Order: sequence, then structure tokens, then C-alpha cells
Amino acid sequence: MLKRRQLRLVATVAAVVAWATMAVARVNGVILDSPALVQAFTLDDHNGKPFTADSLKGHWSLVLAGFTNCPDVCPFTLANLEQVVAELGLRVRPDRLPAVIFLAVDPDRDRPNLKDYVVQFHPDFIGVTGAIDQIDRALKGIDAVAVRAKPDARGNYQVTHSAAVAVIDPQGRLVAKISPPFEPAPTAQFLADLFHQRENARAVGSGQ
Amino acid sequence: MIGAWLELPRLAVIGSALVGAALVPVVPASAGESLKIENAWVPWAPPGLKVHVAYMTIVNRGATDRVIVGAESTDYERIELHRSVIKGGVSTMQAIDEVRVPANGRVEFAPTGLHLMLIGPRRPQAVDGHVQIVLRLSSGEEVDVSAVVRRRDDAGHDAHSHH
Repeated sequence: MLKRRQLRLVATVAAVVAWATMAVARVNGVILDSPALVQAFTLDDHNGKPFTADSLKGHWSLVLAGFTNCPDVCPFTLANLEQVVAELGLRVRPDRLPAVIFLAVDPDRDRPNLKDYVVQFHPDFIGVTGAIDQIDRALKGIDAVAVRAKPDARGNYQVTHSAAVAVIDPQGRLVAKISPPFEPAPTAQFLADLFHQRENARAVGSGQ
Repeated sequence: MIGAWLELPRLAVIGSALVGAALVPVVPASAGESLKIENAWVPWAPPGLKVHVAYMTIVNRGATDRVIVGAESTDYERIELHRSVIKGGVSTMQAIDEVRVPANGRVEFAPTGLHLMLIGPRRPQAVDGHVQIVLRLSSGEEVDVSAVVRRRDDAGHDAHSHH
């Protein structure tokens, strides 16, 4: 009896290890060697309230660049982030759940639709935009780029932007970046591990 | 292991029998008959957005390649063939002139890849409503597509089923 139980335990551990290895393999996550403080910027959120670098403090944040005339990649990423946060809810305390912030880089076209575009994925998601120079400062803060192409004859233009999602810690510092595909369960596990590790490190640090 | 190896040829025989059976009734008379559209859908987008997207799987059961050179819909000002490319960490969309659907092959229009960009909606979208799209082929023929409007989370299993 005991032997069979031990075997079963070994099999379970092996399955868990195999699952965890698979999960890790499906996250394109990079943790920065040293966190980089997001420098000051001033934008507005989708309700017209000021949103600054300080708004990133006090909680974890996931920040991605995009634009509302992006019908394919941006909605795909936002929909996946909604699932990532739902999965995270099973792994971390509610106060550790990250804010999801969509940095809209095409303000003239984004402003009228920003709220509708963002809250269709989750009512707590936040769209932010503003003056181009402030958008560029925010982009720099999350180590991202956006290029607005020249308009065509019809006045349409494409926007090229970083695909990665920036992970900002509660001190307002860029600590990691995750790249597509954002598969919900492994991405949530990556973030949960990162949050635990950083908060443990802080607890040890403050004890010295 | 030996058992598994022995199973393989038998499965292959069954597989080719199935494929053969499927091909018999559809000796193509025209492009419209040889191209089959599966799982065509348009993610619901809030009112006010001027750019929507359509996804689908296009199956070519014919013996010759088919080339999609354009698309239109009475529901939109125009439609463009697009491909999203994520390269070097940067996401970009490229308009493309044509999409080749190989003989006895298929092409997936799916999130973060090939898609139809629907520009300038002429009427509001409704969940469970349909968007009628006409694909134009290089042969001059047309293929009718009826794409259902669904919320993305309802469609999530489709979007991920190809991994």
C-alpha cells in the first residue's frame, strides 16, 4: 500500500514538474537586471482625469502601447490580458492584481473612442492618452516605441508600435516585459512568481 | 511502443479513405464551389470605432490554387486584406495585394495574422448579427461569406484552437 502511494506521489510530482516546465516555456517574459523608474509624464485617462507617472505607484501595472484603429493585434492583446488578470486572481491576493493600462499613441483618432475601446475588455482597464510629447515620454518610460506613418491619399495611416507589455512595480519602476503570445495561465504564473519574488525581496530589504 | 507503431498505418489508411470520400462529391465546377468558408466571424466592437476586422478559414478543395485579390461588403466603405506582423518586438500591419489559397489546402485568417480589415461601418454592429462579405478572386469569380458578429471572449476558443 505504502509503495503504491509513494509511486502515485512520484507520478503527481512528475506531472506537476512537466506542467510547470511547459508553462514556463510558453511565456516570453524578460525580467530586467535593474528596475528603471518611469520618468515623469502627464496624460489624461479615458474619463479625462490626469494620469501621471505617479498614477503608476501603489499597485502593480501592466502597460501596453496601441491605438484604437488597431483592429487585430491590440484587441487580441487586451482580451488576453483580461484572461491573464482573471487567472492571476486565482494566484495572488486582490490587492496585488495589476491595473491594465492601454497607452493610446494616436491621440486625435483615439480620444473619442478610447473609453469604449478599453472597457469592452474589462470595466477596470484604463485608457490613457494626451499630447504627443507626453505620450513619447510615457513610451520611453515603458521602453516602448510607436511610429505614426505618413497618411495615404485617403488620409488613412498606420501606426507601428511595440508589441510587448511592460510590468511596472508598485514603486513605479519598469521591472519586466512580456511579449506575445500572452497565454493566460503561464503568463499569470510568471507574474505571480515575479510579484512574490519582488515583495519578498522588499520585505528582506526593509528588515536590514 | 510496438503496439503504437502498428496502429499508425491502419490510421493512415482510414485517414486517406476519409479524405478520398470527402473529395469525391466536390469535383469543382467553379471557384465558388471549390472554396469553402469556415468559422467566419467579426469580433463585436463598440459603436464609434471606424475599423473592424473579420476572421475565417478558407478551404480550397479544388485542384488548382485560388487567389483572393479583394473583398467588399455593403456594410462597410471598403475592405482591405491585411497581415499583422510582430517582428523585433514591434507590431505592424501590412496591406497585402493577394492571398493565395493552395490547391487542396487552407488559409487561416486569424488574430495576429492574416485578417480582413473592415473600414468605415455603414450601420451599427449587433452581437449575433451577420456581416455579408464578398471575396473577389483573380479568376473574376466571387465567394459569398456570411460572418457572424461575436464577442471576443465567446470566440476565444476558436481563436486559440490552432495552437
